Amino acid sequence: MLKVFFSIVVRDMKVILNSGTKVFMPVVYLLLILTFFSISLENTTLGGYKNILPQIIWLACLLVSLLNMDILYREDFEDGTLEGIVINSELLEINILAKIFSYWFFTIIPLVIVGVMMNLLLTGDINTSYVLFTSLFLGTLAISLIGSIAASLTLSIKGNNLLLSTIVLPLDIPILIFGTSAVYNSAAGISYSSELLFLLLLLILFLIISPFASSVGLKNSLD
Amino acid sequence: MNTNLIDIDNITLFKQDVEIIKKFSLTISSGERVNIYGKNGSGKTSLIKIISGITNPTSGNIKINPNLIFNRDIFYIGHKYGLKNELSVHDNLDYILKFNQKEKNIDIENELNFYDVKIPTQRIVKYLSHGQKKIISLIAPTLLDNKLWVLDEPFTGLDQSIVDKFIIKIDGHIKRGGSIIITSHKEKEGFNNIELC
Repeated sequence: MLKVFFSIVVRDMKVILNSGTKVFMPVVYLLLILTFFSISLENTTLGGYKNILPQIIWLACLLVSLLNMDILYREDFEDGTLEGIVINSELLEINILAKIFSYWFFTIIPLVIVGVMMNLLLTGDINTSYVLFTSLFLGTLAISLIGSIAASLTLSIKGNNLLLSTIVLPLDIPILIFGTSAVYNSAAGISYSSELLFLLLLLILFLIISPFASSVGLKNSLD
Repeated sequence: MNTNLIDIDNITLFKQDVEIIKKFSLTISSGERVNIYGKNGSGKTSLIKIISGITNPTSGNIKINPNLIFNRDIFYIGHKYGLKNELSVHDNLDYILKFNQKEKNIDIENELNFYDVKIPTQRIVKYLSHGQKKIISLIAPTLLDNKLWVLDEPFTGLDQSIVDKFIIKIDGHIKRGGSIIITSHKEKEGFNNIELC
């Protein structure tokens, strides 16, 4: 079982790293969004762009990871390897977890690392950067799990990116609330552990639901 | 040895109110080669998808021999090649073997020589022609040697010499007790031909 899991992870790693755009484009996009925020919010009276930077990074990471969500199953669907994964699997849920994990680890984690580094460079607040990293780490994995359900459902529809975002965004609201309030609390010097625990709870919840829901969605899309 | 692998009993398939397969029955026993042929749109691919478990029929039963472990003993190739464009020939076949939990040293060179084609194993699949991709996708079942091969139009787009050599591979597969189901547009010699209409 573990061998099958790793065979998918290794393959997806090679596919993602062979086409470098999947790793670098989201990072470049994140940096562009942050630049745009800093231009547009430069003259704000709120006390400066710096105070809300961690929240902006959180939101930007969420939106950029959504843009990419479609590639989770789309390419495998188009070249026919998805049929192999569905037919020749003892436990389809394990294969789905492998796909989600490799997608998250190789395309979203670079994004998170760059976002946290930007926060550290621009605010110099080590503690908030640490909380930002932890909350993004938990939050983006939960977002990927939700995205997997939506991606499997919308697989048979071409040009589904807007539909996919429309399904995923409302479900992301609780994650966004707890993620951004964790970094806000940390910057304000209040306790943030309950928010992080709630994020962990949401992650475990979707870790349980997502593989089963995605496997039904995938079987339906291949039909 | 002549046991029934799959019993298809009176199945009907509707897709968006159109009856694609009408009361179709078929028994596949081990060591048998079945060729399902018919015109375009006669439901060959739909039938193949039902046999491999992707689609559920609207009505009717499919009985599968309990000795046939569905996930491990069936190998399906559809219209698409099932190869990753970004990976090399070697990495693609290596993944298929690892995914199906077959620990084997793969000798792709040997297989390619059998078909008399020259494809460097480190070549990225994206840069291969359609025929070359098809050959690579047909190498996968011979490496895995699952009991039941389910191939959707395996011979389209291939030279006659390669088709003949693949038939030799099929003969070897049948000798080892395997079975094969293919679809095509016409009757094939040496196969149990079943027409869909």
